Amino acid sequence: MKTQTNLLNLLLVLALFGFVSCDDSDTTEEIVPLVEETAFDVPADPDMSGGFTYFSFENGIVDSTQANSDAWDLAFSGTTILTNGGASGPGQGAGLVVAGIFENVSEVQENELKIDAEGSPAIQGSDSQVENVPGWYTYTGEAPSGPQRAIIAVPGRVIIVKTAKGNFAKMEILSYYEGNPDTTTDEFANFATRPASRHYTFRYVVQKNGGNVF
Amino acid sequence: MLYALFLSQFSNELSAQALKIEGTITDERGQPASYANVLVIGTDKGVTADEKGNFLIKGLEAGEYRLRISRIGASAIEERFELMEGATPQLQISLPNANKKLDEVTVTATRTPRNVEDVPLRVDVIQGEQVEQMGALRLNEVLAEQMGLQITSDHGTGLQMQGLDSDYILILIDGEPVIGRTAGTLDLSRIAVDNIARIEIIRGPSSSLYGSEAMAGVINIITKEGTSGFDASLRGRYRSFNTSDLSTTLSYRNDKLSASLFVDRLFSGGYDLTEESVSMTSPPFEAYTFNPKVAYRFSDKVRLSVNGRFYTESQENEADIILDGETVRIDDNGQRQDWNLMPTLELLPNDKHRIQLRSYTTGYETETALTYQNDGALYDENFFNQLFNRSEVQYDWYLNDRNIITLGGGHTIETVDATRYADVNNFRATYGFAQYQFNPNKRLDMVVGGRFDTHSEYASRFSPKLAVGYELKDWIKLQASLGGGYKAPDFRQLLLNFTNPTAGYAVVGSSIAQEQMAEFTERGLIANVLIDPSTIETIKAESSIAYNFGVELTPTDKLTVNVNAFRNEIDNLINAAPIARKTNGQNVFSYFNEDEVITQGVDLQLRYSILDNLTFLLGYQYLDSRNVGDVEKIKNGEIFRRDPSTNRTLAVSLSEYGGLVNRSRHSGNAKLLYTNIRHRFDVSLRGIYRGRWGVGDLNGNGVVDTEQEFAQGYVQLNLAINKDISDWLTLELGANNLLDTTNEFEPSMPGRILFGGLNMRLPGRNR
Repeated sequence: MKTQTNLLNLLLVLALFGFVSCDDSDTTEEIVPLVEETAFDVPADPDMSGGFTYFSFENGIVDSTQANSDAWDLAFSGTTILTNGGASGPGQGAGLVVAGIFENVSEVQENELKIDAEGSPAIQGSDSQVENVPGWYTYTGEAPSGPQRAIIAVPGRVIIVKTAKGNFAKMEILSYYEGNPDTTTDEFANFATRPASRHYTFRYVVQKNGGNVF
Repeated sequence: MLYALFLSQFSNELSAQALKIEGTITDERGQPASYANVLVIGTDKGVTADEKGNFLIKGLEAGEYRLRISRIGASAIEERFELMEGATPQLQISLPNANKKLDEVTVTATRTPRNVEDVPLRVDVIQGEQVEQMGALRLNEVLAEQMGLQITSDHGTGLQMQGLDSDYILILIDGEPVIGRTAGTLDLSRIAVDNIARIEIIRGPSSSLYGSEAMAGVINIITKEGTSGFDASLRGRYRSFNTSDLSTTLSYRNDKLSASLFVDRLFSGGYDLTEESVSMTSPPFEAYTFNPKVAYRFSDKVRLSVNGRFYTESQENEADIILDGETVRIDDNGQRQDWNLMPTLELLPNDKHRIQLRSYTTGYETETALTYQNDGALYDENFFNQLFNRSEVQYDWYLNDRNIITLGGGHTIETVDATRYADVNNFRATYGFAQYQFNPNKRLDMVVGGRFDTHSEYASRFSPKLAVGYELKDWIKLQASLGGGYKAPDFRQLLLNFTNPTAGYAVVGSSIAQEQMAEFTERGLIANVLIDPSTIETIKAESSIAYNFGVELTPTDKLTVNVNAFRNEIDNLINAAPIARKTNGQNVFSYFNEDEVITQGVDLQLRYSILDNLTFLLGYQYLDSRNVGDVEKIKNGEIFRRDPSTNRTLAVSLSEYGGLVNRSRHSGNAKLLYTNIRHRFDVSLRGIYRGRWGVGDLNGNGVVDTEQEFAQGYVQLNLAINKDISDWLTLELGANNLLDTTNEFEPSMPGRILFGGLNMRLPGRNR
C-alpha cells in the first residue's frame, strides 16, 4: 500500500515538472530563419607563398588589400585559420574548436571563445594533448592504414566563430583537398591521384540577429 | 634321446591344456564392464565377459600374449600378459570410455603429466601423426587449422588466441619458452614440425604457472623421443613457389640411453603479391634447424637430459627508397638465428616425489643490411641480440592418488643489445609458484595455484588461478576456471630508441623517453611537445582477469561436443602515442598504459565418428572484442565519421563498431579424415573459414566502423593424401588452399600450393 502511495507521489511530481518545463519553453526568442551555406574550395595558399585568403561569411572571398579591415571573418593559409580579432585583425573576431555534430551545436558560450594571439590562433590546428584542446585536423603521417601524410579534418569537430562584426557562426570543415574528395578511397591514398591540398570546403550557419543560439 | 624329445613334447601339450587366464574388466568408474569382448590376439580364442565383467580363457600354451578388450561405448585396449606353468594370472582391466583421448597426456596444463580428461582446464592436443598426415612444414600451418586460433601477419607469422595477439601467447618447446619476438610477434615459421610428438594447446591465462606472456594461453611443442633401438627417417618434399624441405631424424634408445638428432633444411623461392613494388611479399629464404637430444637414466631415481636447438635463416629482398626525390634500389638482406641449450636433471627418490632442476639458456640474433644496388655502399644496417637464461627448480609431491602438490621457483637473466636500444640492457626476474591438484571424489577435479613474479624493471605481480571440473553424468562434464594473467612490457616498450631512416618518425621506450626527448630538444629536432616527458610514468605490466566455462558432452560413443565460453578483461594495455612533433613534421612516439580491452566469446568443437575409419570434426568460434573506452565514447555519441559522399559528420553507432582490429567475429574449420587400412592410405580434407575482420582506421576516428575498413572473409580448403607404398616408404601428395583463395589483407596466402613428397622410415610401420 505504502509503495503505491510513493509511486503516486512520484507521478505527481513528474507531472508537475513536465508542466513547469513546458511553461519554460514558452519564452522563445524571435524566430530567425537560419540558412546553412557551404563554401567550396576556398584556396589556402596553394602555391605556398605564405599568403592568406580572406573570407567573409556574407561576401565570400575578399581581396587581400582589405586585410586590415573588418571586411573578412576568416583567413586561410595552409592549415592555419585566423579570426579577425586580437593579433590577427581589427575586428571583434574570436573562435573555438568544439567536439560535436554540426547540427547539434545550438548555443555559443561567448566567454569560452578564444582570441587570436601571435603564433597561437584561436582556432586550434591539430589536437593539443598538453592543454587538452581539440583541433580541427589530424596529420596521418606514416599511418599503418589509411592515407598517409594527409591532413584529415577530424569528424565531429565544429568551429565556433565570432565574426569581425560580432555575430556568431558555427562551421564544419569538410575537406582540406580540392573537390571535397572522399578521403577513404585508394585514389586519395595514392599520392599520384590525390587532389591538391590547401583547398577548404566547409559548411556554416551565421546567426545574423546577434543572438548566441542557432 | 628321441624318446626324451617326444616326452617333453607330450608334457608340453598336456600343460597347454591346463593353462588359463582370468580377469575382471571394469569401466572408468570401477563399475563392472558387462559383456565386454576379450580376444587373445594371434589366436582364435576369445570370450565374452559375464555380467560382472569376469572372464576366463582356457586352453592356452605358456608364453607371452596380448589381449584385446573391447566393448560398445568404450575404447578398445590391449593388455599384455605372460603365462607360465603353475600360475593363473588374474588381470584387473579398466576400460576407458570411447571418447577418452587415450594417449592424450598433457604436461603443460599443470606442469605435471596428466591425462587431458582429468585436468579441469581447456587442453587440446594435436598428435604428431596428425601433423604428419596434413603435410605441414611449419608450426603456423598446423595451428591455422585449429579452432579459435587465427594466424596473423605482422612482422612475421603470428597467432591470435581468444582474440588476443601473439604477445600474449607463450610458445614453449619441451616446456621452455622460445624467445625472439619482432614487434611482439614470435614468428611461427621458425619452428619446423617434422620432429613433433605432440602439440599441447592451453587456452585461458596460465600466468599462474608460466608468468608473463601466458595471458591468452600456452602452446607447448613436445619433440619426439626415439621408441626403441635404432630409428631413422628421411623426408623430402617439394611445393609450389620453388619450396623444398628435407628433414631427417636419427634416434637410438635402450634402457639407459636415448639420443636423437633432427635436421631440417627449408628453402623457398618466395612470392610477391604486390606487383607495383619491387619488394617481395615473402622473400626467398633458406633455413636450417638442428635439434639434438640426449637423455641418460643413471638409475630409476636419476635421469639427466640435455636438449639443444640451433636455427639459422637467411633471406634476400630488394626495396626501392626515395632519396632526394630519386628512386634508388637497395638490397635488403637479413640473417637470423636462434639457439638453446636445456639440461634437465630429474630426481625421483620414490614414487611420491619428483624433483626437476632445469637450466635453460637461449639466444636470438638478427642482422639486417641495406646496401645500394649500384655501388654496394651501405645504406643502413641493424642488429638485435637477445640472450635469456633461466634456472628453475620444480618439486612435485604425489601425496596419494588424489592430491598432487607442486612447488617451484626460478631466476631469469635477460640481456638485449641492439642498434635500436641505447645500451646493453640487463633484466633480472625471480619467481615462485605453487599449485595444488586434488580430486576429492571421482567426479570432481580441482586445481588451485598462483605465481609471484618480481622484476627489475616493473612492479611485482601475483597471478592466481582456480579451476574446477565436475562430471555431472557419465556423458556431461563441466569445467570452470578463473585466472589472472599478465604481460610484461617488452624491451621495445621500455627501451626502444628508433628513428625510421626513410620516414623520419621516432619511437622511444617509456624508460628512456625523458632523456631521449632532452637529446632531441638539444639537437633542435622538436617543434612542439605534446606530452611533457617528465610526466611519463613508469610503464606497468598489462594484466587480465579471465573466466572460462565449458561443457563437454558425449551423448553417444561416436559423438563428442565441447562448448566453451570465455571472457578476458585486460587492463593497462600498452599503446604507442605521440609525445612530440618533430621539426620535420613527424611525431615522436612513446608507450603508455592506456586502454582497457575485453575479448569474449563462445567456441564449439564437435567430433563425430561417421565410420570406424571416417571422422568429421567441426570447430567454430564467435568472438566479441572491444576497447572499453571506445565503446563508452560511442554510447556517449563522441565518435564520428564522415558520410563519404558529402563529408558531413555522422555519429558512429554501436552496431557499426567493428571491435579490435584484425579480429574476426566468426571463424571456424571443418575436417574430414579418412583412413583405409586395407589399401594403406589416408586422406584429410580440411576447410578453414575466417569471417570478415577490421583492417584499420581509414577515416581518422580511431575505430573500425565503415565497410572499407573491413577485409572480406574467406574460405580455404586443404587436402592431403598419404599412401604407404611399403612399410618403410610413404608417398604424400596434396594441395594447400585448393580453391586458390587470396585476400589483399592476408599476405600469408599466396594462392594454391601443390605439394608432393616421400617419407622413408626405419623400422617400417604397419597401419
